[in-house]
Amino acid sequence: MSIASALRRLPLGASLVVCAGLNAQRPARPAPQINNRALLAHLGFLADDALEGRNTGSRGAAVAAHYIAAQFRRMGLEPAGDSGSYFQALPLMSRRAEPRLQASGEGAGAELRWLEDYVLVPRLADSLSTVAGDVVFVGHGIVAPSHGWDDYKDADVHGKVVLVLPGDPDSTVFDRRMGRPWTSVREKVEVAVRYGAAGLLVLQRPDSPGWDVLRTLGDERLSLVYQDGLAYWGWVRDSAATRLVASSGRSLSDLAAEATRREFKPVPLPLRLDATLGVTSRPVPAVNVLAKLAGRGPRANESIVFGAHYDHEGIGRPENGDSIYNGAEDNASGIAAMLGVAEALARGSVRPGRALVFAAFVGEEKGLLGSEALVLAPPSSVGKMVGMINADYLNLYGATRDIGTLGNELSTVGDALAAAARAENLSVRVDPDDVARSRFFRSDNYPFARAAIPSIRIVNGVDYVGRPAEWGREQRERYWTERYHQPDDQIADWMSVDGLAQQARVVERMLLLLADAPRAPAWSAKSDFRPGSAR
Amino acid sequence: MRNGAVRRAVLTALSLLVAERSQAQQSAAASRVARAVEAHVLAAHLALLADDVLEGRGTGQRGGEIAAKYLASQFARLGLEPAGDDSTYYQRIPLIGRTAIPSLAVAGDSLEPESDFVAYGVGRDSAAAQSEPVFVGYGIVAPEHEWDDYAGADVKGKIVLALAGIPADQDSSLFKGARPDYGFRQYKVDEAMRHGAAAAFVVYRAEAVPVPWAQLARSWVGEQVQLDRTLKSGALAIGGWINDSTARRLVERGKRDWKALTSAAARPGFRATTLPVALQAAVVTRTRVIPAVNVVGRLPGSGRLAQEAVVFGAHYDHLGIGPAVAGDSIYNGAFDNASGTAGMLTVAEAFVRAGARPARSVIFVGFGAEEQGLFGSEAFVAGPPLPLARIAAMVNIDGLALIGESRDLAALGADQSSLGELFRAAAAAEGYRPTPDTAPVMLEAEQQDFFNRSDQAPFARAGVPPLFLMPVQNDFIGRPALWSKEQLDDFVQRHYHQPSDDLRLGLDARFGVRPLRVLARTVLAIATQPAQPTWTKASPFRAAGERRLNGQAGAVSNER
Repeated sequence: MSIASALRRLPLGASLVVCAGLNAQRPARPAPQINNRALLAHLGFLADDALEGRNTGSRGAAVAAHYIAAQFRRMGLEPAGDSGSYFQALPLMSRRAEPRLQASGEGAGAELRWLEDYVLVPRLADSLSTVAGDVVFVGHGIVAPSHGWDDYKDADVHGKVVLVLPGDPDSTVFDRRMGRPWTSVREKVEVAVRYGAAGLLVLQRPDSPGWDVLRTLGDERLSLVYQDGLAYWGWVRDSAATRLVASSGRSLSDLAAEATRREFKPVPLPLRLDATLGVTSRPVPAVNVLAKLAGRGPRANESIVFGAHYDHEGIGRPENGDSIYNGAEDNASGIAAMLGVAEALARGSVRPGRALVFAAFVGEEKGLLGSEALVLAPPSSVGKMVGMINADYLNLYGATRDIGTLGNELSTVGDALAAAARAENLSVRVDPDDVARSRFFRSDNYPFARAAIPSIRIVNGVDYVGRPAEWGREQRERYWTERYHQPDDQIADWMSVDGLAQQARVVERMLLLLADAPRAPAWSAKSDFRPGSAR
Repeated sequence: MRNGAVRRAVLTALSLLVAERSQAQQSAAASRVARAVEAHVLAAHLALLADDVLEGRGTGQRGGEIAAKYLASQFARLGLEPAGDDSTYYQRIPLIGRTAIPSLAVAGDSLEPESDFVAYGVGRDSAAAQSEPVFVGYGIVAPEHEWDDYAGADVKGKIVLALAGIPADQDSSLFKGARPDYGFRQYKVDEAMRHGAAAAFVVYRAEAVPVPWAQLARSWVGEQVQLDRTLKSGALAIGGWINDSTARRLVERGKRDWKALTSAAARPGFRATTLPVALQAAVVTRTRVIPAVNVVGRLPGSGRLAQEAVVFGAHYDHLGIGPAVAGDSIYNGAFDNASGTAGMLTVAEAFVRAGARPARSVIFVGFGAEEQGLFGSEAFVAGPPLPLARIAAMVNIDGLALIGESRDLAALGADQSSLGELFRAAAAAEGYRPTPDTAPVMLEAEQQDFFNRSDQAPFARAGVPPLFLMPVQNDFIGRPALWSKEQLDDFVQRHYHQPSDDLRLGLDARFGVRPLRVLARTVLAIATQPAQPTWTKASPFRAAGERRLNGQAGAVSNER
């Protein structure tokens, strides 16, 4: 059934699609019942032009959030947001800094020029906008026990400003594609936070992104307000970085050479950096939408999260006269699946052993902000999150014989996927292209993984029923080149929810398997996200 | 006992058994549907529809569009069949906004717009009429009262003057139990149009119009929202009001006595008369199209009667964003009528969840553009998804009192047709007593003419028997006797059509469950019973009902 025509005319005869597959591990649980016409209805509403592309902070996103909450409430799911509501408000600001950054020290100080010599992004509440600290050079700022790498050693950087080099010290050590992206600025910020630093500055090197790109970090931007002590992160331009380090009597190239070795130890520099951030802030209304199916029994305080982001890119540059970036695949599809699964479970009589939390995230397109906010400060009714399944652009192309995933080898959540897929007669596929493009780290499962909560991402298979072998890959390629983050990512006549229903059934089975299992999901031994591996 | 008698006895016993079984089945089905009405479903729809993000669901505004799309998405989710235009859920309401620049001159002397008269164009952008005016008394043609103000008159191409109100205003022995709309401007202008007049002015009279002239006239200045009705006959192009003192001057310039003329109009046998004075009327109109829709979904019936239907409706529109009151510019319409719309969706969900497949189809309708003048229901009746003869009944919610549990429940219109019996049985099944006609809220409803002020009215005028759930019960458990009336008065005075009609009223969805169960049972009963409901003998809508069943509904009744 094509979606556009189906939205216009839905026969009643297309009643519940009942899966006859076998539940491999828990025969007591009924087979999943995903209602295809409900998937269509959710998709049609969320991807409608009236929702104006659901941009974070926009009225379209607010309508989407209220729609999702209304569906949760209608199903009889409990609210799991702030103070008994379905909404978790994000501490989200649109901010612009006009800082002053003054270096002082034995080798005479210098004022660095905003946007010419450096750029930085404030992280804390506006009131905490004056930061002064001694400076420590911490090499590449990486702490990765699983790789036997520790740039911080036992250095005390508490309240200090750390200078780090971008990227990695040795391209043979870190797998940039599938392993945890230790070498990313995001991870370096995470490490600096853990060590109590007050500021982090990345020193631009010749192979770094160009300054014209980096300086746009100084534009007004959306960011969460953190409460962890790291006041800012940013970049220092290569020429200024060289001068800054030289003013302390050291040579940046010498330090960089030292930092390529495992034995490298942090180097305190006889420098202070005084920053006045001069932040202008505008709060941006944005909410995650959270609902819960309560668990029963001794593990009811633990929860398994099924998440999908509902935000997209809003209204933007017109393409062929269309300026609404509807995000039908990215990610009305994921929300439709989430609502479908939630309804099937809410309507059933199951009470899972662990609570099931349905989380519709905002701010994904702005940098996984909604999922990060949930991980950082979960409302109490969410319980202790012990596992997470993420749906981000799901299948609107038709039924498949396989289901795609990322992160299945990292934790026992992958085992649940294998069992659930088997019960639905689907094979599990990890697509090399997804791995090559680091797609595990580009969606809302990643903040959960960083917080050591085993997580997985569900993506599309490539083996479509009734299609030639290469058809699925061609469709994906066309999506990435023609529609991804374009106004054309919208409802079209050729779409079908048969594949989406398959994915929803798999997730429904996974949720019950994970919720009922005696042991909470666990990272596999080789995973970089095991709690021990990051400390 | 003879063979035939035995056979008859067996057959009788069998048919009794079958009837009993089918009754038992019906009652089981009704209980299933009733039980499937759930508070959290009602709460969910209400919370969304009344939220500020829906921006008051204004007609032609973004919030109204989103509300319509929400209804369609819910119909789609439930698997209702699209029953709007072109196999969609949307039925376009041909709504237009018209701004008129009128002029009216008596023997060459221009009258003052707004203080002397107001006028609007009908169906065209520029219209003019010129004639000696014909005074047609009250401008009523009512065979049931043996009354015809147009008898013997030729008004083709002429300007008509008609008094506001009905002859009963002067002589209370006349027009007993008359259709209420005989007194209305719309009726009088339409009647003039049917007789071929080129322009019709209704003469304002304080005793017949509940608002002062200044207020009435002001309401006609600026954009008028209306249905874009194509003219079916006649040449009438201008309608309007004329101030009584102005009319009097005009009559006197025609050398006629105003008092004599107006009192003659209230006497049986009145004959229209031409006033010998030159009158010129002209209107230039600017028109824009206002996007508005009804949202229509059909739960198909089963068997022979599936071609007939029961309409279950609620208007989803409200006033949108408007002038701020106490810093709030969003007219949420939580009670009016997010509550009813949510109730309609909740009943639709209950029918689907319970797997109900009654004999007649049930057509669920979210009406648009109610607040500007019942335009959604007018448009529905004018272009129904199936012939009106096959629409057995209409059930409407406009305001669901979510303020307490009551001992009683009432529906307006129940005394007009056999629907009353079905409603009373359904209410009894949920433990309700009938609300006495003399209850304070019922008297208020009558005085304020609730029945003619919501979407059931166009259906009634087209001959479709309706029920309108009384927006507030009388006897709330744990409340003093007059509490209900106080609540109603308080709402009308402080919140009606104000931004404060919002979720802060503290509406509690749990209190909607039983009333909605009654409506679900009622709709199911109407959809199940073999024959269509009938108007009572005394009902003023009975004639319209007969026209409807004879397939004559449409042109005449729809234009009122």
